[in-house]
Amino acid sequence: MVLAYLTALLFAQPVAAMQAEAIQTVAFRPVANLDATDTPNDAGRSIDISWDLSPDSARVKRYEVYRAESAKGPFEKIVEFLIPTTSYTDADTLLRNKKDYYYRVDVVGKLESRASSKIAGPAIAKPQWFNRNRLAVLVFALIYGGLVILYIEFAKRDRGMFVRRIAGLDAIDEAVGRSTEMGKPILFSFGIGYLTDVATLAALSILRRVAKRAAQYETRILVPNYDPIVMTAAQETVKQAFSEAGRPDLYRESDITFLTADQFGYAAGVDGIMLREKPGTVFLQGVFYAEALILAETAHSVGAIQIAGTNMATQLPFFIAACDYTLIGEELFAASAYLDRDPQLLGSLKSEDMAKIITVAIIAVVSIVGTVGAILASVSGKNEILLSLGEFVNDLFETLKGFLTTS
Amino acid sequence: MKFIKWLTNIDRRIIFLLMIGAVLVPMLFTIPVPFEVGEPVQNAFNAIDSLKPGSVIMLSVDYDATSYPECQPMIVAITDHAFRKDLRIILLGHIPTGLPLGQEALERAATEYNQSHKAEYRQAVKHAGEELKRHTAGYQGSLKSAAAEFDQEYTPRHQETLDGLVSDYLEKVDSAAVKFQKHTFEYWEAVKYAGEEFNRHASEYQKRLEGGVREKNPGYVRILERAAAEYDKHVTEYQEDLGHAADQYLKRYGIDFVNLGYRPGVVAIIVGMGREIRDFYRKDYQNINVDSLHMMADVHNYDDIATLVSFAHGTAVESWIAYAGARFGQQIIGGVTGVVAPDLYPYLQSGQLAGLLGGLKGASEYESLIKKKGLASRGMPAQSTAHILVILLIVIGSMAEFALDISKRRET
Amino acid sequence: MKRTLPLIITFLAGVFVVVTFFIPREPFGSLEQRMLVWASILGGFTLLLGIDSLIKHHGRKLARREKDWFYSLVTLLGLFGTLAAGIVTWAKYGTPLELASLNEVGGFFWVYKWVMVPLQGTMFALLAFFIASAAYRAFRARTFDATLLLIAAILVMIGRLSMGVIPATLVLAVLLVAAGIHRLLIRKPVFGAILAVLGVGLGALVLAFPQDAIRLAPQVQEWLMSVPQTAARRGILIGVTLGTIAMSIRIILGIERTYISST
Repeated sequence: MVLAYLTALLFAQPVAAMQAEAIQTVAFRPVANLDATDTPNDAGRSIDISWDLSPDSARVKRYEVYRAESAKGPFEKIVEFLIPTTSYTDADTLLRNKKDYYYRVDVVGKLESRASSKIAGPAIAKPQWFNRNRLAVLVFALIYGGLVILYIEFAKRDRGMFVRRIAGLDAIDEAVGRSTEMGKPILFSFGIGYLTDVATLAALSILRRVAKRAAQYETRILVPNYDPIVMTAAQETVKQAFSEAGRPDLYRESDITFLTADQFGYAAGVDGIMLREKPGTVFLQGVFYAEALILAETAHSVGAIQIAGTNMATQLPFFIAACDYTLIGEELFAASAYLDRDPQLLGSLKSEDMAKIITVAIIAVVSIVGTVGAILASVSGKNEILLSLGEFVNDLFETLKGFLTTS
Repeated sequence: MKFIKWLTNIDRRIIFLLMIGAVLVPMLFTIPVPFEVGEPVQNAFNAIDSLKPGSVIMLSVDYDATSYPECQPMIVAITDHAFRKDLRIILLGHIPTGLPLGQEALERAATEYNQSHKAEYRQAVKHAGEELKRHTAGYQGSLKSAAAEFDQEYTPRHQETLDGLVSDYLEKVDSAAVKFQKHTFEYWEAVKYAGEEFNRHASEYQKRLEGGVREKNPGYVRILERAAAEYDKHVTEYQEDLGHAADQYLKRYGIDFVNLGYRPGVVAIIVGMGREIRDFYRKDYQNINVDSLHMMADVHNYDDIATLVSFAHGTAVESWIAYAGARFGQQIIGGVTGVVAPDLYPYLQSGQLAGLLGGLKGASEYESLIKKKGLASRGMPAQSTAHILVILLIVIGSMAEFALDISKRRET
Repeated sequence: MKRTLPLIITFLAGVFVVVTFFIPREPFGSLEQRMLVWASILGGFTLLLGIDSLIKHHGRKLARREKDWFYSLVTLLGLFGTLAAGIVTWAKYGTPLELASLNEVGGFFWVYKWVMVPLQGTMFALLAFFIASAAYRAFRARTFDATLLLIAAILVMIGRLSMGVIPATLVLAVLLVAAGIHRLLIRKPVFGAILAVLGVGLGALVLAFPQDAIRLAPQVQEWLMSVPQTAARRGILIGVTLGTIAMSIRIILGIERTYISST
């Protein structure tokens, strides 16, 4: 009897232990394949961690990520996620380069029951010298730069480089003449661009040409400005142009003023000037936003002829509808080359065209590859040859796309 | 023929006049235009409508004055809806020049709500006041009978003093209400102050009553104290009734809505609020400590916020989705300009956005759902008539030109 | 030297910034951000230049009682008034951007709300009028291109109507028929026939299936905006971007010298 009792005791323990174990295994399974590596293409002090979700993800309340400087710990929690996540970039400011770090991911369920993953590490954060993601940009930049230099050399040797007519630029002299005949001033507006905008720089070269003609015909030129630096550049340009035309006495600095640095305040100011001075010609060259149409329509209402030019794709339709001549996008950038016929500038213009051809060719090739791949994927059915061909094409497409997209 | 020629070159001033008419007429005479409510807007409405009273909703102002016509009707409609459902509102924003607009919408919604419930509130306050007066009379009655019993003095002067204290108190509460029309924070400070004053004077009064008889008649003093304790309870009840009336009929700053103001740094704030809002917002927009705002006592992070609505004219909604939605599971609704809306459709389909109001159209759809026509509903017909006018002008101009051209060719 | 020093600075700065684009390592990685901050700080100072020019220009007009001197007075009052409002709010709250100043008469945000916002809104609203007069003037079906543009524009507008879709589409159909007749009469039979058939067809379809027309109109508009329009816009964007790159290369190499005074 006692023996039975003792035996029962002996076996009771393991059974209880087995029961406890059984309860444990009903708890959550941890995340798997925890991986920690240096974040690529960065300035260092960042480690990428990734893992596979716990199979019990649906019942998990949250995921906690821990970090330590040695495999034995102590581990401190660095972040937690309330929804199923499989990756995290540890860019903590406390992270140091060239140091070992170890990571662990825990899943926590209701009643704070917890399951820890295996420890991953050591992971070392390192800065990189070259951002691999931007390789395509580098390649393209080198190709383009090479083209520019190449065509400039060509242009230096071959003086008669052909450039197609750009109506807006050809009309400049005629437009200035018209103003002179009417006895009205010319108005030139850079829109709301800064000197750092390429379009404003291009507009400056047009201003130089316009100012030179205006000096020769003794017509007044008004340049209201949105930005003070552009104003000083404009003043310099006009003064220079008047000197070159031999009429420095005609230069009036008070005609080139700063209005205001507010978009609609500027539009209102320019409109006011147009209505009072009634210019015969209005040039709208540079960067424009919503005020484009306001300026163009008011110019039309005072009977001026308008020559517009901008790279802002959203405003081009308005200019095309409302103005007599419009320089679209890169026609504006071509202005300095077109007006001066300097071989270096003409050469770079040609290289622009070449680069455009290359770009369009790349787009066409990649689009065709992608389309063929999509078609093959949908019609191959069970055909082995078509299936493998389709896979090849799609892989090719993905590789090209990966190479061409940067971050 | 001259007429046809004129049609090809209508004076622009006539065109402008026609445009004024096309835009104004529908706005002046609200033409009911039947339209269907789209799914994104319906989902947004349902998300807010299904919230329990007392839930917290966070509004983020991520637009500025240039998008006022499109985004302002949205925030106005949603704050109206939120107050109607007795939700508590937290306002903040990432564009400093837009926050005044958000504040304007909040205050207007609160004022309108308070105005529409003013009668009931006033009624409740008056009722509570009469109750207090009744209990004061009862208190005085027991004082009088106790005095008679113990052969002590309780004169009409005693009576008047207490009466005077009570009417003084009630008057202060009333004048505070009249002075602070918007029922802002100051009103409740004033009421609280008046209440404390009254309590002080009342206990002074009591002490004076007792002081006269303490040594001579402890029995009388005991009865006085008991009566005072009873009265105290009634006064507290009165003050609680004020609070309940306000809870029920008014929307008050600090209790039903707060404005946390602007802090620079978009992503850091969105991520940081997942842990604790006070890490970034220790004070509200008036530099009042956040912890002294009653509403914020149990609001710490996204766990305590039921829904978040971002009103944006740029990419702010995507930031909210990426950091608050993806990381912390916060429900997000977007209220964006017409230009930005198409970019957000993918998020709607994947469920990362609970609802979307796009442009003036979206705003007017929401207004029709809450059955309160605002700026957007008045604007939509005007938008259509303006479009129709432009189409007509184009067509007339073209056709007149055809006629002119044909007659010219006939002559030659 | 006066001519070459700016060119050297431009070349070095340009090459340096381009190189740092590819190097994520510190200190190169954050250089771009830092330079942008420097640029905006400089920009703040240049505003002083502009204000100086403004005050001089209008002050002169005022002093000499030149034509329209009254408006110069208004401009200067506006300038100094806003400055005063900002300073008062700053003195009171420590920052001019204090939200509470929204409700105080003369506060900075009060000025913003009651002066800036209405004025900006007004100017923006002018666009509605100007679009009408510009569209009326420019959209005439004279050539093939113009006709195509006109049809696309009207279809997009119809797609955004919340009422009057059927009448508007019928008007478009009438225009197409009229254009067709016009072309026929000026001896362009093919073009004319196509237009006329399109017009009659459109009108008939819309009258026969009005509900479908109302439902399809926004979708037609969406397709026009997201397919042909986007394609054209991207084409322009590619051209503009390449032009910008070429211009930038020219500036860095010193070939383009417009921003320097003496060339």
